[in-house]
Amino acid sequence: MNPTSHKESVSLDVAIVGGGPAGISAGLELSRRTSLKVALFEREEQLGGIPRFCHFFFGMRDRKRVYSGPAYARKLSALIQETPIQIHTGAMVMNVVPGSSGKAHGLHVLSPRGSEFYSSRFILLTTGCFESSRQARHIPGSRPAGIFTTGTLQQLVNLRSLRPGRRAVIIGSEHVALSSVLTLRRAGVSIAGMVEEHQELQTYDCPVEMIRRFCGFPVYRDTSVKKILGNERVEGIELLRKKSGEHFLMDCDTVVVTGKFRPDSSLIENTPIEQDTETCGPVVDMDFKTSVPNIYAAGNVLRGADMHDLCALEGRSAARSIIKKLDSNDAGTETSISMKVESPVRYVVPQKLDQERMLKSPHRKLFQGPAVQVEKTLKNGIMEAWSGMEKIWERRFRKLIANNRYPLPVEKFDWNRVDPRDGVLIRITF
Amino acid sequence: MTKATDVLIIGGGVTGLSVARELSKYNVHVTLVEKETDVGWGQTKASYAIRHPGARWAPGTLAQQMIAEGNRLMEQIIEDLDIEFKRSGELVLAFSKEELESLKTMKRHAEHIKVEGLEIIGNSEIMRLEPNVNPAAIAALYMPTAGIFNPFDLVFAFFENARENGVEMMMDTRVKGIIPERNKFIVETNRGEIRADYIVNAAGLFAEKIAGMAGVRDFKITYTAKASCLILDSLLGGTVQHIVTALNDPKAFLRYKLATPTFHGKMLIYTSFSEPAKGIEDRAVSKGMFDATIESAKALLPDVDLERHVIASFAGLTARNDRGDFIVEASGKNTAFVHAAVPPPGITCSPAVGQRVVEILKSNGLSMNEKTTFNPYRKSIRSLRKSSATQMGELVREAPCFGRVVCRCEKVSEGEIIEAVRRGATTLDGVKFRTRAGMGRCQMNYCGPEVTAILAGEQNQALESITKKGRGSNYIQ
Repeated sequence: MNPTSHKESVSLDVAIVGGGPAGISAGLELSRRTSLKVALFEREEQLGGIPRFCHFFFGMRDRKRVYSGPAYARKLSALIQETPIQIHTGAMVMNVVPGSSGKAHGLHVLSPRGSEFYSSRFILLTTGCFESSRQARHIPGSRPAGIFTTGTLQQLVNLRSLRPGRRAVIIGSEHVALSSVLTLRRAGVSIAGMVEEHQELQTYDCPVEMIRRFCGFPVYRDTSVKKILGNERVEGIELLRKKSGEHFLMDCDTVVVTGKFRPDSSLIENTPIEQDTETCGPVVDMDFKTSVPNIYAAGNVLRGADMHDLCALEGRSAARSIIKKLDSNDAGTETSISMKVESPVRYVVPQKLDQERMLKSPHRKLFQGPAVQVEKTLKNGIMEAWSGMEKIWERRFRKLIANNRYPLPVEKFDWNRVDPRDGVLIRITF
Repeated sequence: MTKATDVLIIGGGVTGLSVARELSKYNVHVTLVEKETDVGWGQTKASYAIRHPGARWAPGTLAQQMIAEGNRLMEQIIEDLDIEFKRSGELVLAFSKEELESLKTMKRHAEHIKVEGLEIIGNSEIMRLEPNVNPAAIAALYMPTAGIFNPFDLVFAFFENARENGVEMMMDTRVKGIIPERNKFIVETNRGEIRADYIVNAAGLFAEKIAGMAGVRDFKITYTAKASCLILDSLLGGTVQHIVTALNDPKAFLRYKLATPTFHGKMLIYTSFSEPAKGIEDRAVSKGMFDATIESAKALLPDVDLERHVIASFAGLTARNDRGDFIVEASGKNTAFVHAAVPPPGITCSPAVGQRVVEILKSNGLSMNEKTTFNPYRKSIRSLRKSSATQMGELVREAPCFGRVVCRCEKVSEGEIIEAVRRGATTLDGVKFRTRAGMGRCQMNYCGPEVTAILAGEQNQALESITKKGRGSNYIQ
């Protein structure tokens, strides 16, 4: 199928795929150029993305005030609807077909209105991310009903006012685990406990401690799930204290698996857009450009979950890059340096840096400069940057929390010793 | 409440359903009872979706005969019932001289039933066909006729087609006792009594128990070991093009490890490494089984990052029996009681087993005339995945609900889910196995609430009463 060659295709300047914080913020920025023909596609009936069913503390860094999740989603949605941007909700982008050698890109969009084709000079992917399922987390045991991710739980409770069960165990302790505590409380589900496989929590200790005391549930660290019990509905969960080897049972009818987000990058599969083997999202440079000209990506599709407001700011930055590209219209010959990571560093984004720009005007903004996340909370180590056999930077740290984005001070790297052929590797030693 | 029927089939797995469809060609009254809420939820549900050519079974066994005939009949069935199938071919790798000898034996087995295109190939040819496999393989048996398909669709196709042709289907019906009378059986179930002239025992794991109820203890079912399969993300979908296997034990051809593309663009890995089952209903995947499956697949594909890309895991029990072969025969003690005890590859053989059971019933006095009204055709659910962009447009024009994508990972529309419910899905698993909604990388975590709402709406029920897989498995409670 080649939508670009389709007779009835509608032509656009920019197509934004995904109407969450990143996509809407990009749209708002692009709408300032009234001459541009921009369309935004959202597969849900409502705009707003994940914040539609989250709770509070939204909008701080992008809108400079605090909203609840749904209010934030409504606000963004209202703002974008005032612009001349075409909004297509309930519209799923089934395929992106990159145009060959500078030609417009194609999109196949399906909605109850029909199967439509668009061609667009630019595409911005802001499709977000999803939480790992119980199966993807390799949690052993039977396969009964009553196992949810935080996202499913929030949909049930906050969008549909349903109570998923009576007594729940929460697996994982990333930031999002706290959201699941609040959602369960709101639905009137009692919390039997929170289980973290590592000794360190994957979020800040303090809020977990406060919530744990307030709600009165135990937090089991260094504890893994031996198996989920129950053939029809969850009947309990068997846990294993890793150090002592002690097993114990917890009664529950609901298990909430939290975190371990992954980009929803299915649109780039089977396209020439380069995919990062670590994040499974697209590889981008500092302008949020993917490996295919005029296709950009921003927000959580780059890395898995991060704060919505950082995504919004990223969407805005990506939109500015697109405008800049429209204005300058030069192909640009930049020497790009590949950034790579080694476990326990989970990823670095963007994965391509422009060395000259780096030296001229270093970016340290959280939403633009290169940043890393670690796989799990780490204490007392050294983060290092290497190029080939040369160490070009190092810094000691006392604690790195799993879910946080840590900006890399790339202006401090010894760029003279960087060999562009080797790229830069970020690693951690103890 | 008492019902009367000519033939009662006990068990709605692929075997029972194939028998049902075969019988629906004749003017006999047929009833099928299934203890679960839906069909195909026993051994069939944990299938690894392969059509076997039959090299693993020795000449002279009923198993091999059924596989050979099953493969022959399957061509027409795939056509008539609109089943997704792809002839991918199979490579059985050998890593040692001893394993190479086993391949030669397997090749002779397959030649006996005239499997076409068999060839023993060397390392360079293996690496050309499958660049990602372990380069230590010295030889492989290449069987081009093996293939991958959608086994659940076959089960639902048999079900729908047999029902359309007059077979009475009773779900959630558990047999509690069988009283043999002169020329009859009185079968007690939780949904009343059924009087049947003939019984077909296709109860799979429970075949011994059912036979015992009727007093015909002809064999024992040995189900003690379970094995697991893992499904890997579509990112690894192109890792292998053929079904790639290797023996775990050069002397036991049924003990092997496997990596195969699935019909829907993912990869499936399996190993016969098994763990003792804690009971006939134990289908839990333990950490040990998970690790063993990954490890054995690494022996086939050493440089592929498998662990990170697991999206689903499941385990099943295999109903082997103490005779070590298929048992498709009338009981010696009561010829009106016909056993169809078929372990894997039951799906491959199902058409042959269906025909054989009909022959047995015929020769034991069931009078059968061919129905003139038999309709051999069935169309699968119209879906986005089988449609081109233009065809999608036609679907949406006809019914806008085909333009509402509910399962994003597998791109399943509301229209398909509604159609699945109309064809008999009553549960989330029923929808999932008919449409693939929830079989993708998020495992129904995004679309679960929506699918539940559609099910509830179509069945005019409260959301709270929707279950994952029947009684007691409520999605929310």
